[in-house]
Amino acid sequence: MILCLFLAAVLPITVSRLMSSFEKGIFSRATATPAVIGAEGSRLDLALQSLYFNRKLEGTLPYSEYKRIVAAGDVKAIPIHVKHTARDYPIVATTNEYFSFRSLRFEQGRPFGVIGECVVGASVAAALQLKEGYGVLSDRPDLLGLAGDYPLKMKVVGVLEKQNSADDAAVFVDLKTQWVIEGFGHGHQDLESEGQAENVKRESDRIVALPSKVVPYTEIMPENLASFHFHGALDDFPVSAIIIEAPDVKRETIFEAKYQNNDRGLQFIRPVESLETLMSTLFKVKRLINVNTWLIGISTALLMGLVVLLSLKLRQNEMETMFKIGCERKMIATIQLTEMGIILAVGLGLAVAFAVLLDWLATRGLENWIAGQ
Amino acid sequence: MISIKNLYFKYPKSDFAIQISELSMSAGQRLAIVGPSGSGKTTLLSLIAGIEKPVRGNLSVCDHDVDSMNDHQRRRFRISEIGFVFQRFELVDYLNVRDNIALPYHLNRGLKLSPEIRKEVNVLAEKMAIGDLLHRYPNKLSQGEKQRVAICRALITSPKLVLADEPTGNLDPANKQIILDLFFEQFSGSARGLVVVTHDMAVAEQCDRIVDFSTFHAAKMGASV
Repeated sequence: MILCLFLAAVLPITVSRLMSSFEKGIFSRATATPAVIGAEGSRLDLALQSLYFNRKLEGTLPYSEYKRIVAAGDVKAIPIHVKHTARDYPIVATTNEYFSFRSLRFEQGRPFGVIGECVVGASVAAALQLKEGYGVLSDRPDLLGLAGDYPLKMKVVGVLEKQNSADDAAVFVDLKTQWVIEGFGHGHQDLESEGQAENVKRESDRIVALPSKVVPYTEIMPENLASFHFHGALDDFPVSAIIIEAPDVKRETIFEAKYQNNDRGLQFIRPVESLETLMSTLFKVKRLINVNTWLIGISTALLMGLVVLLSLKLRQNEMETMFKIGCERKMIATIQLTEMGIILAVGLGLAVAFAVLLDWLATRGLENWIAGQ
Repeated sequence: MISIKNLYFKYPKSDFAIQISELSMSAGQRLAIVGPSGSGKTTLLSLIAGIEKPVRGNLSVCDHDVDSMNDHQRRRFRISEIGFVFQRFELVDYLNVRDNIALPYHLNRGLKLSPEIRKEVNVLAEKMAIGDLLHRYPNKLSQGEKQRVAICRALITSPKLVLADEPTGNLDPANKQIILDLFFEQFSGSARGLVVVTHDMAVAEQCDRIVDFSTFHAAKMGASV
C-alpha cells in the first residue's frame, strides 16, 4: 500500500515541484532582464540567448547601436555577444556593468580590465580547476579550417561566487577580446628580432617556414598588448544583443517605440513575454499530467479504500478478541487509524522526499535543456 | 463466585434469546456447560464476562453486579477479573509468543507491564511447556502450541475467573489430553474459578459440575435453566 501511494503521488508532486522551480528560476531571470534589443528573427531565441547564452542567433546588430543608445543616455545598455566557447563553456563578451546588473559577486580577483582577460563563473572554475592567474583557451571553431584560426589563451583575473544561474557556466570577456577570437583583431608574434631566430626555419630566401616550436595559440600579454589592433571600424563589429534597463515604464515605452517597424533590421523584446509562449506549452503538458494524476489518484484512492475495507474485514476477529480481552473500542479504532496514518505518511513522505531529491538534481539540468532547445 | 437469577438476554434485531432462572457457582469450582450448537452457551460466557449486558435479571460475578454496570465499568471488570480462552486461539499474527501472552498489558492503559509481569510471562510459558518458543510467531506454531499461548494469555493477569470456549475444539486427539492436563493443572489448589463451554465430554468430566443446555430450546423464547 505504501508503494501504491508512493507511485500514485510521486509523479504529480515531482512534476509540480519541477515546474515550480523551473518557472521560478527561468522567470526570475527573465523578470530581471527587462528588455533586449537584437537583430530581427526569433524572439524566443533572442530572449534565451540573452538569458542563457546558448542560442545561435540568425543575425547580429552593430556595435554602433550600443554606442548610440549609451550616448542618448535615456536607458542603461549592456551589450552581450556570444559566439565562441572555451572548453565548451560559452564565452560571453560584455562590459563590466554586467556584473553589477546581475548582482554578481567575486569570490576571487576582479573584473576584466584589458584585452585577453576573463572572469569565469563558479561552475567553470570548479570543472576546469581554474583560479585567479590561470589560463583558459578558447575552442577552435573549425578544426579543419585552412585559415588556421588559433585559439586565444585568456588570463583568468576573476572567479565569481556561485549564483545557481546560467552565469555560473560562462566565461566573461571584454567585447574586444571576443572580436580578437573572431578574427577581427590580432597581434603580431615577433619572429624578426634578436633571440627569435630559432623560431624561424628558413628554407630559402623566399620561403619562411615556422617550426612546431611556434606556439599554436594566441596569447595577449603585456609584451605584445600594444601590437594588437583591429581591422575595420569598431562600430561595424557584431554584438548579439543589448540588454536594456529603463529607469521607468514611460522611458521604456518611448524607447520601445523607436524599434517598432524600424528599417534597421532590429527588434525590441521583453524576455518575460517571449518566455510566456514557452511556458504556456509546458503548462499544457502540466495540465495533461494533472488530469492524469486525478484519474490515477481517484483509482488509487478507490483501490486503497477497498484494501482497507478488506483488511478491516479480515482483522475483525482480531479486533473482537482485543475488545474481549479488555481493550477499549476507542483504542482499537486508534490502532487502526494509526496504521493507516503511518501508511499514508510513509507513502506520501517517500513521494515528497523523492520529488525534492529529483528537483535538486534536475532543476538546473531541465532549465539548461529547455533553454538549449 | 457466579450468581444468576432470572436472567434474560436477547440480541437486538434477532429472535434469539436466552433466559436463565437460576445458576450459581462457588469460588474455585470448575463448571462445564454442554449442549448443542446454537443453544446459547457462548452467549452465556459473553454475559458472564461483561461483553454483553443482560436485558433484565441479576448477574453477579466475583462480587460485581455486572447487570448494573455501564460499558466502561464492565470493560474494567473484564480486565481485572476475567481471563478468556477462545476456541480458535485468536492470537495476533504480527506479535511473537511473548507479546501475545502479554497482550492484555499492551492493550490496557490500566495494566502496567512491569519487570515482574515480564518474569511471570516466562514462568507461565515454562509451566505450559512453551518456554523455548517465546520469540516465535504464531504462523510457526502448531495448534497445540497456539492453544498453550492462548491459555497463558488468559492467565497472565491472574484473573479470579477463567472462561474457556471450546478449548480443545481445534486440537487433534494427541494434543488434546496434553493440553487438558496442563490447563487443569493451573486450577488445582487455587481459588480461581473456571467455566468451560464444550462439546467434549472428556473435558466436561474433568469439571466439578456439568450444566446441560440441551434440556431447553435455543428458539424464539430462548433457553432457560
